[in-house]
Amino acid sequence: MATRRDGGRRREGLTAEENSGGDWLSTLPDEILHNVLSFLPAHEAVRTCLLSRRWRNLWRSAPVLRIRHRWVGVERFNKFVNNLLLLRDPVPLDELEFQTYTYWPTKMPRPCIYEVKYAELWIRHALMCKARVLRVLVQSEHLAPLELSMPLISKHLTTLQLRSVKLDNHALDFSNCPVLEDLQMNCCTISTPYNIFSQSLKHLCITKCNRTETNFIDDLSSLPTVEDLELESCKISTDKMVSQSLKHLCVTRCNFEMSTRISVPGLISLRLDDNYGSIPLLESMPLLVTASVKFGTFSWGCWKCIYHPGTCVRCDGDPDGDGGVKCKFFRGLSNAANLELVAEAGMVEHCIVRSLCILKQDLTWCPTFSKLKTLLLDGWVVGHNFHALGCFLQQTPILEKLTLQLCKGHEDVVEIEESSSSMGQLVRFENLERVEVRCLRNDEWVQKVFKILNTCGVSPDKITIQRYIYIINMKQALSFSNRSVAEVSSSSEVESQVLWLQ
Amino acid sequence: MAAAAAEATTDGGGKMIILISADGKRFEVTEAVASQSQLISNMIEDDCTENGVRLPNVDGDILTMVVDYCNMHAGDAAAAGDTMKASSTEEELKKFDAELVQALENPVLFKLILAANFLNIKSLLDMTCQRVADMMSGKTPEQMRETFSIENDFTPEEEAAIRQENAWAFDD
Repeated sequence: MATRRDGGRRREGLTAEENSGGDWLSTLPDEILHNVLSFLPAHEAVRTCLLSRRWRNLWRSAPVLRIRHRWVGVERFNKFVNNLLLLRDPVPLDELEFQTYTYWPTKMPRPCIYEVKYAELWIRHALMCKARVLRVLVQSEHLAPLELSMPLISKHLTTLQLRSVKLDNHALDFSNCPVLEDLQMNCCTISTPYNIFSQSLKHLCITKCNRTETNFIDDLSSLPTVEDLELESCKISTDKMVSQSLKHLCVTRCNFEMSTRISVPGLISLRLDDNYGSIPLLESMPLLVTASVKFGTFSWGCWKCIYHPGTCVRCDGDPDGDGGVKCKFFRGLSNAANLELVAEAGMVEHCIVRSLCILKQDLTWCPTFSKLKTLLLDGWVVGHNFHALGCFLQQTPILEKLTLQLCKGHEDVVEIEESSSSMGQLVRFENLERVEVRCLRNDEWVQKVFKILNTCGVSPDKITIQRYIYIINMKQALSFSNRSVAEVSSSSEVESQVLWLQ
Repeated sequence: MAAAAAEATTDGGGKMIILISADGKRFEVTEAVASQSQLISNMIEDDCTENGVRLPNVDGDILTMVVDYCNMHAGDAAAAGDTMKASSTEEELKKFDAELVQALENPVLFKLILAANFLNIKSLLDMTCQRVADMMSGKTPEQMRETFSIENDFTPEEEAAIRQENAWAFDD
C-alpha cells in the first residue's frame, strides 16, 4: 500500500534539457507547490490529486483554502466543504476564504438558513486551525443572511473580512482576538447601539452598511488603537466622531445626516470624497499633512438651516461666542501641506450657492495656511468666482505649487464675479514655483485667472496653461491624462480620453 | 574594483550593491531595490555585501528579470505618501506585472519561481505561482498533465480508487 507521502520526494539535479521540456512543475519543493495550490479554488486544488503520485496528497497540507460556491446544490456544497475540512491534514491553516451565495440565478429564492447553516462551524474550525486570515464573503440579494452571534476567539487571527454578515453585540466584541489588526465589513448589518470592541485593531473599513445606523463610530474609544478608518456608502448619523489614535480617515459617498464634529487630533491624512448631506465640522488637526476634499453633488452646509446665511445662529453666530460653531471646515484643514479642493461639475445650482457661502464665510475666518505647499482648486471653487482663490492667495505664504482646474460643466460659465478690491492685500509668493491652469475652452476664465495671478506678482513664466477637449465619452474624462496629443490620437482608447492641447 | 563600485552611491544617496549571477553578469542596484529580496536584506543587515552578492543558482537572464521587477517595485513604499502619484504608479505596476507574467513561457517561469524562492521575494514568488495556478485553473486533470508534461504514474485502478476516495470533490 502506498504511503501518504509516496510521491513527495523531490527529484534533484535536473539538467537544463529536462527543465526546458519535462515536468518541471512537479520538481518544485512542496512549499512552492502549496503556494501554487493556494491560488486555486479549493475544488480545483483537491482535483490535482489525480495528476500523479507526486500530487496525490499535496492539497491536504496547502495552507490556504479558497472555497467557492459553485452551482452544485446546497447539499453537495455542504458535503464538499465538510469533507475538505475533515480530510485535510491537521496542519495550521493560514487563510480561509469562503464565498457563497444565498440566492440562485433563477428567480427561485431559497431559504438562506440552508445555504449557510454550517458556516459558523467552518469559521470556528478555521480559527482552531490557527487561521491568520479569514474572509467570509456572502453574496446576497437580501441583507446579511449569515448571522454571527458568538465572539470569535483566536490568538492568530490578524485579518477578518466579512461581506453580508450580521453581527450582534457578542460578535462585535473582538477582545478575544488579541492580534486582529485589519477588519473589513462590506454590506454587513451591525446591531446598534453596540460598539465594535478591539484592543488591537488598526485598520477598519466599513462599506455599504447603509441600512445600519453607523452610530458606533461616534465614540471610537472602544477601538483605542485604530489608525486607519475608511467609510464608504454609509449613513453617518452621529454628531461627533472622536478618536485619539486615528491617523488616516477616508470618507467616501457617505450621508452625513448632521454636521458631524470630527475630533481627531492625530490625523495625518484626510480624504472626504463625494459625500452628501451636511458638511462635517473639523476640529484642530495639528499633524495634518494631506487633505483632499471633493464636495458631493448634494452636500449642504449646516444641517439646521440648510445653509441660508443670516438665518441660523449655528452658522452666523459670533465666532467666539458659545453658540458659534461656525463652519469650521477650513480651520481644521489649515495645517495641511497638501490640499485639494474639488467640487463636482454636476452640483446643482442651489448647492453651489450654499457651498460658496460656506467657502466665503469660512475663509473669512480662516487662519493662515502656514504650511501649505501644494494646492489644487477644482470646479466651482474657482469656476464661478475668484473669492476662494483670492482668500487662499492671501493665506498661503509658502505655497510652492498651485493648480487651478475648470472641468466639464463649467465651460459655459460667463458671469464670473470679479472685483480686484476683493483680492485685498496679497502676500508675495517667494516660494511659488509653478502654477498650472487646466481648463476647457474658456478663454474668458483663463484671462481672468491670468490677470489675478499677475496682480499677485506671479510672473507669467511660472504659469502653464493646459487646455483640453473631450471626445465622446465624458464619464471617464475627469481623470486627467498626461499623455500628449499624438500619443492619445494613436491609441485605441480615444473615446474615453481627455486631450490636452498645448 | 567590485568593492569600490559596491560602495558607490547614487545621486539619491542610496548605497549601491553589486549582484553577480551564476554566469558572472553583474548588476548594480540600490540597497532599497535589493532589499526587496529578504535574503539580500538580511545580508545587508549583516554587512556582508561589500564584495558583491554572488547568486550561484540564478542565471543572468533570469536575474535581469528579477532586477527589472525589483527596480519597478522599489518605489512602492516611497510613493504611498502621495496619493495622486501612488494611484498612477499602481496602474503602471499592474501593467508591468501583467506583461511580465504573461510573457513567461514554461521553462523561464520555472526558473523565475526558483529565483524568487531563493532570493525570498514574496511578491514575485506569489505572482509567478499565481501564473501557474492560472494555467491550471479550469482544466481537467488530463489537460493539466498535458500543460505541464506531468507523467501519469498511476495505474488505471489506482486512479479510479483515488477518484472514488475523493468523489466529494469531483461530482458536479
